Amino acid sequence: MIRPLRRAHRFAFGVLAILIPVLLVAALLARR
Amino acid sequence: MVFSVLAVFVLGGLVIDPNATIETLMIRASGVGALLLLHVVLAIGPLCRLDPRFLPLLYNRRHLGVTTCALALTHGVFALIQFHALGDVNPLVSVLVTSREYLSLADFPFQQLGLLALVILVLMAATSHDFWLRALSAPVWKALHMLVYPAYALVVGHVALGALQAEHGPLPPTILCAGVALVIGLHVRAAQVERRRDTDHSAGAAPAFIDVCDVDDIPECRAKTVCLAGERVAVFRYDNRISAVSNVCRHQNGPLGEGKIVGGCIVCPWHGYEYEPASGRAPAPFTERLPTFSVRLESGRVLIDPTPHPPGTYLEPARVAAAAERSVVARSADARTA
Repeated sequence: MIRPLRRAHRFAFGVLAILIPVLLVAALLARR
Repeated sequence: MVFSVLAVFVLGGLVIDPNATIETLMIRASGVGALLLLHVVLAIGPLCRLDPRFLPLLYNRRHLGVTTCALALTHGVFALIQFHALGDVNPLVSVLVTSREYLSLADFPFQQLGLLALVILVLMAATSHDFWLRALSAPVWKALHMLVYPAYALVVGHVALGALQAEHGPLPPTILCAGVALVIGLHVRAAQVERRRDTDHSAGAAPAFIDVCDVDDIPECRAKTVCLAGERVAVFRYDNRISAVSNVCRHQNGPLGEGKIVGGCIVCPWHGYEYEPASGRAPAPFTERLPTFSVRLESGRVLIDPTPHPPGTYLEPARVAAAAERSVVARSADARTA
């Protein structure tokens, strides 16, 4: 990063970093 | 490049499934190609922050991004023709109404996730030229292009709820999981490294001069980047002089501290924009200006005032030789009093 990340950006990145693996695992578990 | 990626994946698809039609092969090839390139594009940023040897990749990231978009568009168009264009309903409407099982993971309308991701990728590719950077202003442009992360989440959802639901082998989900782990892992690691660098000098940042490093820590014609009061400052050493400017290039926010001084000017590592280190001004006829910072040398240590001067303010560089002399004087004074 060029500048240190703002708090809102850090929060958004954190949400995505948790959401993506959770979504992926849930989708794989739902496979028939 | 689009055609070569497509050709490789179409041939690969033909080997795996010789009975597939050309439309199916194109849908698979363009989809896999776009997904792979998106991972590469997302990995380049953190890789460059972890190791400067990856920097040449950063200069080509925009082209890779546009190629990703072209492949994703090919995937979308072929899928639209194959699955949605043969009925009475408008193909785009058909994508939106094909399934409304929003609460089911197995029957979720994954096409809509892909469509939304495609819209973001097309917006980014369409505004990737410097004209749009100027027209939209750097913060708006940057915010628009940060949408690549929500787009990535949508793409992972599109693949996991779509193609992977029909795949029963362990390999495709394993590869996708590895890709997601790689992208997230690299970003988290780069963030940790940057956070450590930033907190080195931010703690207790007072308006007075702050000791940032030893003069000898800065290689000749290079910079050391330090974080002062929440902003990064590039401290350059050249011809036994030290000057400090904002680390943020006025062109595309490139990291000037990773650049070097060539012909008396700081050269941005991203696109070669140039600035005079003492004044932060781009040489004529260019008009870009950087904020500058006051520098002092004491006993071989570099001290910076964290309050920036207005962009383009000339500041007399600190002289390294003078500082060395001062330290000799200080040492001889110590010897006399001992």
